[in-house]
Amino acid sequence: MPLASQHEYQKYPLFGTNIAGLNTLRNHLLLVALLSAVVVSYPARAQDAGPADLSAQELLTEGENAFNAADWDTASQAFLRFIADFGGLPETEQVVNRVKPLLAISHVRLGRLEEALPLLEESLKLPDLDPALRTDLIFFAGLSALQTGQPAVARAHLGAAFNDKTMERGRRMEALILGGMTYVMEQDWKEAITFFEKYGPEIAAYSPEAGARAKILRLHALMQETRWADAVTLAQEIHGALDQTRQVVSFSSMLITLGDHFLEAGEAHQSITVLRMVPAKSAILKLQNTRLADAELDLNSAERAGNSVKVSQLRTAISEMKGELEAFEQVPQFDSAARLRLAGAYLHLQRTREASLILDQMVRQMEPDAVVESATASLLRGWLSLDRHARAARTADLYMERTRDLPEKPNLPEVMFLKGQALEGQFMHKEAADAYLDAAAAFPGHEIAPRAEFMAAYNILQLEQYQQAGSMLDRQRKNLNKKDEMWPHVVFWRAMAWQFDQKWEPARAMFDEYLTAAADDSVSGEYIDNARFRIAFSYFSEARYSEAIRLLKEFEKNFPTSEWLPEALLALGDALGAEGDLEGAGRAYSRIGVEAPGFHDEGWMKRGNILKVTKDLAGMKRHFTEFLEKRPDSPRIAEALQWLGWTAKQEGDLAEARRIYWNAIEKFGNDRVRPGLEEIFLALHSFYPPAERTDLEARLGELLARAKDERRTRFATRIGWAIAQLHLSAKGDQASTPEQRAEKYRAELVALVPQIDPEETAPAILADVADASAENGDQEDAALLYDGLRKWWPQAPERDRAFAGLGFLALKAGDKDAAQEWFDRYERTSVMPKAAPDENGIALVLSELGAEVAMARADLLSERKPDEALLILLAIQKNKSMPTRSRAEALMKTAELHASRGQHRESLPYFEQIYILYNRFPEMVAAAYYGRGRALEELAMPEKAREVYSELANRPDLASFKPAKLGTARALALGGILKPINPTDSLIPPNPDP
Amino acid sequence: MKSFNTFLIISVGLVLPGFAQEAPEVIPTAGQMQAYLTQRPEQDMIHWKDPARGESLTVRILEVNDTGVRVQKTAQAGLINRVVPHDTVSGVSFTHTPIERQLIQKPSAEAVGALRVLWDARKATLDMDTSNVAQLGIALAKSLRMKNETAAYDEAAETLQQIGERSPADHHKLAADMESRTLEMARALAAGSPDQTDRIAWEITEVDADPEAMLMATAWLGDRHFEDLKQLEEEHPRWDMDDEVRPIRLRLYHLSLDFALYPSLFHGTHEAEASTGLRKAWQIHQHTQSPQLAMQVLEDLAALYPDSQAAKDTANELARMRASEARGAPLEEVAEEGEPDEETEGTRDKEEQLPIAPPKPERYNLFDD
Repeated sequence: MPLASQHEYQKYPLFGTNIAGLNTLRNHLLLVALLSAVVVSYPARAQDAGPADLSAQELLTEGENAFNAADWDTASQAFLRFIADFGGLPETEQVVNRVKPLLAISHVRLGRLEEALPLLEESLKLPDLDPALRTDLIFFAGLSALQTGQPAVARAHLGAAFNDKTMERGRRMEALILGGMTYVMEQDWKEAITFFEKYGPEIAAYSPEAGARAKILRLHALMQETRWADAVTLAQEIHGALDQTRQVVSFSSMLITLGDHFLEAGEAHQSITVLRMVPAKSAILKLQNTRLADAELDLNSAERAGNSVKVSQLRTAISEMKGELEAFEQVPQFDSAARLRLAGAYLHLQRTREASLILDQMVRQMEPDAVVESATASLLRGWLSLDRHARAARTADLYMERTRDLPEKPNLPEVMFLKGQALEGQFMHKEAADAYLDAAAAFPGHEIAPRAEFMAAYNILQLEQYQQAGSMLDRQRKNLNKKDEMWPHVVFWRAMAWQFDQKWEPARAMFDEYLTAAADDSVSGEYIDNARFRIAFSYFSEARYSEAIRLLKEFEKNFPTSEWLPEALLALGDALGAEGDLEGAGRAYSRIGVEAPGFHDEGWMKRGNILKVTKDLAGMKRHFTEFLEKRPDSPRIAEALQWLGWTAKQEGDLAEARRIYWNAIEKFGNDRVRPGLEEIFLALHSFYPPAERTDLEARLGELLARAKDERRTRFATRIGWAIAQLHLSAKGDQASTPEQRAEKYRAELVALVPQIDPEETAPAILADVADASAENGDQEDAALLYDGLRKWWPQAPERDRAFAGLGFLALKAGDKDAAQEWFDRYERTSVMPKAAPDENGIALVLSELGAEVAMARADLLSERKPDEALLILLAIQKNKSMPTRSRAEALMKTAELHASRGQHRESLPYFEQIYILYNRFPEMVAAAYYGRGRALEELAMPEKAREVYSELANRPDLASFKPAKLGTARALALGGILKPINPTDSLIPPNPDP
Repeated sequence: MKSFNTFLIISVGLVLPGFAQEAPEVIPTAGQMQAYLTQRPEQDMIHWKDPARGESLTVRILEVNDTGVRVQKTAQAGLINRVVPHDTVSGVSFTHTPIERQLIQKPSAEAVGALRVLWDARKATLDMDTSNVAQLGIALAKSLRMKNETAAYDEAAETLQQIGERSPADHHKLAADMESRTLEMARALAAGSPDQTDRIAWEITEVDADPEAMLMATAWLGDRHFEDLKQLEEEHPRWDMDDEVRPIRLRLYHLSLDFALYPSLFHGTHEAEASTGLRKAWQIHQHTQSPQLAMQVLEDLAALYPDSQAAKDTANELARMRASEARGAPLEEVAEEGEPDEETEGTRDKEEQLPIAPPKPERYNLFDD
């Protein structure tokens, strides 16, 4: 097919995908991470002018009161006014010095850090500063410098704060982290790394949460410094204690960046190592919400306890956590950012299954958007590349469902087309054709439309609906011109549709149209040899041999490497032969290479046939002997042997014919199972006339003994089976009855059971031995053999017998459910033709065994669902393709079933039909007469019954059967046997009064 | 280093005992934990009902029982033991020590004794909104489950039920519910009820809410499908010639691999499960005689989980394959999807049962093949 490789896997178009907002979020969150423990809250009020017209004392008092009440705004205004109004005077210098630190702190608390910093630095120079106040000022100076973009200044203050052992430990640790942060702000990554490597353990020792923050900063620095391996090690360390990390979102974003780096560097495994650490958004939300809930519980508790410091700390922390969560929730594609990259890493390693599984989960969990649209299409391609057609078809449906409301669906045409491929891959040709047509109809202007239209027709062609497919291709052809990509495909396959439909002239015309276009290179020439061969073959099919010969010879000359050459040579040989050129035919056949073994062997057999026609017996002998030498593994060796035997017979040399066969049996008899071997053994029978049957038996017996001695088990089994087959035949054995012969046959086959290994035994032998065992009552052996047959020979026609046989065994064992299952499997898988379902939905397998199974099914249903049983029997009776005996038996069973249900009137016509229509089965006819008589008696119609019994009694051909005797007795009991109305012979009815 | 070095010369040694050190890997016994209760740092909190009593009290909580909260606090005069009556307490908070965190984070059958001591000492606080004892209870339930004993399952179920009924925190209730599902599957497994286990496992895969449950369910289903695959191939050695069997075999093959790969793809940081899954995938590829795919999986295992037992166990095989590939020799001349083995010996006298697909999922299931 021209488009067969359309679903070839393409790389996912994952990269270059911009995950909206991720980078912005990462930067924001990193800053939050750095400052998250700083306990300062900034009110939003604007700075007002200070209170006017107050005395110095009033201003001081107001400022200090406000300061103590944490009313920083009022405090700052009062202090500012005080300094503005009374500063610079010698008498107020001391007071101003006292106010400045308070004003500085008020500024800090109000977030006015630029204003605060000079005041803080001035204050720190003041003598006699209260030590507690000094520690605050140092810390705030560091913080203000940091926040106002003066990292070096900040570092000096924070260093002083850390070295101040009187400062509370938590604050010193914060100073330490912020000190490291100054290097980050300066982008001095080396120093930042060194710093955090040195002090990280100390920070972690104080608080795992602070330690995690320090590690995240170090990770950031390591990544900036491109120390990727160290970054991975550290990331793994952080991940190991994720529950102690508040900055999970920042950390995850950094992991994605890190994974991206490795992916871009082609280090897919390292990328996976990193990306697999990124928790799912839901997991992060769960973790953060849990932490938030815990913090809120702590806050409640702190509030109840009146612990204002802790309340303030917790409020800040909760506010930041909420802010982070809010910001995180705004990133819609967080999961996809990680999962797409992870899938990409697996794709880089050519792990399509792994990538597809990741995408499969991802696309269903995400809100539909452009990424989902693209990824779902990629997923569909992935499943197709793995031949997971059912999943691919479902993914196509998922795509349609999830992208329904998206404004842009760039992959939709391809997805619709690929759905067709997915269905085609499941051999759902009708559904595939519909899917292709949908794609073509939805996007008539798209480049995929003509391909889809063509594939729809091609699938209809697969259904052998040639006319419909042809019409579809005709319609498409009208809209194409030769420059179109699909023109050659449409034209060629239109011609093929004609060809399949045996419409030779239009087929040739269409092939010619293609060839004319291909000749001037205006269209693809991929079908040229095929089209030439088809044209030639069409003449052959029409018995127009001279045209066929000319074209096939040209074909051989022009296309010596064509895949169609073996078939062309075979057709050429046939055509030449039909024209009487046997020599030429033989030469054509002999040019078929053995690389096409089927055609080669067929050609060989046909050459043998030419020799036969020319009565060249010696040549035939040489020819087939050579075949056995050159093609010992061919399934046609039995045929070759048959011809060799025939030749010898024709020459009157029966001994030679036998010798050939015995040699072949010796040579191939112990071969592993292959088609045709058993036929050699059976063919022997024809070389021994009835009078010499005992010779054949004796020779086979000797061979069997030898094969057993030599432990040539396969050989021994084949011989044993051949002996049994011989004994079943009446040829040369008129002394035994058929029953006796059948009994012997069964016994001999059953005797083979111990030596049979199903894997090493031909299906025909297995089936025969299994059937014999079952008939013999050896249920267990039979079951094993049937099981071995279905197990080792799933494609053998004899598998039908295994499924049916297992069903019959189950039935005998009373396991109705098992029987039903085996019969289902038989009917589902039988190689025999199956009837179309009748009006009751019953579809029979058209064979004797099919009828037996159907009747067994009817038996199964007869008690619980007799009406359904009757429908099955009706189906058998009505179907003229069923064996006659089966139809008769179905009638009989129908009649008996009605009778057993007390429906005697309904049974009458069925009994009657049997003895009217099926006289070739006398035993059944006798039973039908008797059954009808009984039914009439039940209906209180003794006279009618007596007529029927009398008719039975008057039939000498039925006299030996038990129902005839019983009928006669009933006739007598009802008043005597009536004379036949139209006696056909001179026989007098028996004495009515014995 | 720049100027910051100048002041960062002090290494503070203020490490609280039992708080800042790395968590020890040794799991304490019940006796050791009982003793530890009296040695823990005094970092638990008692919150008063009456605000007038001021800030919360930082103490070492020994036990919470019917009479009250039994605490210890070190004062200048020495160790003070008190029982704080319930009616004065609005809540308590336990500060988990590294040992306790380790027990919570790494449940194991060996940890049952220690966890039970902690749980028994604190479970009376389960309905207090400040208490984090539910975490201990869930860890205890997980550890009990890992003991694979009926009595332990019962105790775990009872513990989870208490959390579900009494804990005021929704996230604790949810965690208990998830663990209950895992416990249900463990019970079914232990009872040797494969069909019931299948049912629960499929339900878990459909909900896909809890990593631990998913890992357990997929491991089980992976094994089941792989066993079914092997059995089907044994029953149908020429499955590739059998139109009826081929799709069933294909489904088992794909699902076996999907389940085996699931841990490494979706919970890749669960090293034990992920590496075991990859080894299983390797075994499947070996079974289907797909040497290239088998080698790929071993490469992944070695690269992604180099320290795992699975990687160590398969290192020689990977080395052999690499050497073979380096020599340009075919790894093994077998088709990827597994050709029928002509030499397969023997037959099994076994009732044939084609595997039956699970019930159609009600919602999306990654393993709906």
